[in-house]
Amino acid sequence: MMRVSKAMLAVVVLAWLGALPASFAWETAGQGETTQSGPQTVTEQQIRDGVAWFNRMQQALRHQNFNASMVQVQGQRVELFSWLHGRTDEGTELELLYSLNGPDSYLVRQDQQVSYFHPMISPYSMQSRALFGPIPSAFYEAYSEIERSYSAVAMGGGRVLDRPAKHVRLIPRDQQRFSYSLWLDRESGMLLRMATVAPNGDVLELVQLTSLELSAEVPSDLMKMHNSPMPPVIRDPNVDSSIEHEWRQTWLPEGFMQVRANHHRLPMTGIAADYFLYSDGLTRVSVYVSQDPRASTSIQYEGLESLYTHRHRDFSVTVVGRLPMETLQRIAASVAR
Amino acid sequence: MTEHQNEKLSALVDGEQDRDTMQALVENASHRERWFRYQLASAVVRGDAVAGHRFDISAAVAAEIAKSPVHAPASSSLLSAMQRWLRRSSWMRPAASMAVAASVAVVTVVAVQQLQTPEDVINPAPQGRSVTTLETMPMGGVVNPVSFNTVHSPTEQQDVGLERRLLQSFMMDHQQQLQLSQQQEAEALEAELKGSPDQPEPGTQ
Repeated sequence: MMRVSKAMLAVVVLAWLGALPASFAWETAGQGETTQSGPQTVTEQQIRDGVAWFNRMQQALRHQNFNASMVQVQGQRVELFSWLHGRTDEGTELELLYSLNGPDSYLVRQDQQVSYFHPMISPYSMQSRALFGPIPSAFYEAYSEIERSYSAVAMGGGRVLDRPAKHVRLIPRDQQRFSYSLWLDRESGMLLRMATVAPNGDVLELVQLTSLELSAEVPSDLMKMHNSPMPPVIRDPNVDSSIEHEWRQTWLPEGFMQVRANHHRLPMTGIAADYFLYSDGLTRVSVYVSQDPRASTSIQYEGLESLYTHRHRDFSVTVVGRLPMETLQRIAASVAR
Repeated sequence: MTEHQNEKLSALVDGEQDRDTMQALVENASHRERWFRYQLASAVVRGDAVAGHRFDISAAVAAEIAKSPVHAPASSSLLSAMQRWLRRSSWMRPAASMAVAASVAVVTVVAVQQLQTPEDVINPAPQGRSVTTLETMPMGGVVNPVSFNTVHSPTEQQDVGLERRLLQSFMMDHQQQLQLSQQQEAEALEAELKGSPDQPEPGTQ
């Protein structure tokens, strides 16, 4: 299986280069150079390197012992976190994310159990392979998980956090979603900086480490936390409720697959909806189909996470996710009975 | 401005240190800056500058780095706070199976502000469109001001309340479903690794 996928890689890469929209050859396209593939065109080598760097980052996030602080910027808002990770001699992964601004919330992960602590809520745990934090959970998995939707392209280098860094871009196959710029520590492969970029070039979110201590040992605080009693794992409240009507999603950007479907009521408003969650391996989009008249109010909300409601004849579709507004609108309009 | 120029510009904004690209872009970048300043100035005049215009994101990061200590904060305080948490035994009571529900107050609208400036009255947007700003508070995350466009008459104040609740309701639920899907996937993977899950998925046989 592994050998097949490796052999396939080159083929996939070549096919993808052909599939990349013209704008991805951005370095030369502006000058109208069509024949000469200068050093700035995306080459097969860049993609091979990009994949290797992505997987190196994934390994670092799973195996490296570190004590870091991290800043997250969305628009004019800035959040600061302390972020610790380690792997014990027994192979147990420990991770802690602690917010330094605002309410003191903690996210603690021990292997596949994540516990959430926040002053305003009663603590709880969930089964999950990654924290629900600023770093996309896809970064904790191999590149093959996002391969269908993004290609990893090694770009230039730079200096980030006073360290030599490698710039890798995750370029979507189409213009229907955001791209990502990653700066990885050349020495360890650690993620140092991440930008989420809209198709028009706007930077929607920036996450950057502001300090990083790599160590041979698991940070001692993580060890002390290890084996502490944690709150109970919650049960999925929607697991037994299947959708009520057969809806057809007639269009989705390529690479999106359904990962969840149920029927449930929304918090606060109690609106009942058939619910579908689609993933392209990296980003996820929620589709709510409801016949509640309140859900037919046309609202549109644009940010990193956007929302759009489309009113059909006798039902309404609300789409929420980290995708460009045009994509959300198209998804919402593409639901049929 | 074309797509590829924007791509390059974002690389610049992101601090990619590619000299050739930078030089090639100087001219375009100055265009862009001029355009951006113009946009921003007009936004300020209109009074909606707070509604999500991105100022220099890199500057914001630089400012935050300047403020933050060189080393990760001494985490003894972190740990003691953590232990205080663990000593509180409220969660030892039977777990709320309704779970994430109200608990993950992932998206909380903390402020809604009507931006109805005299200029809007003089020069009303089509269909009585007005801009409302709200702030959402993801758990442990960023409070994110965004422009929130709905089509409604500025006099229908109650609509703003309804829309805000609707928006919050969908956003909160979306976050919860994302978290729950992570759990769903982790469980599915675990079952797969165990080989034969005790309870096969309905319809898979």
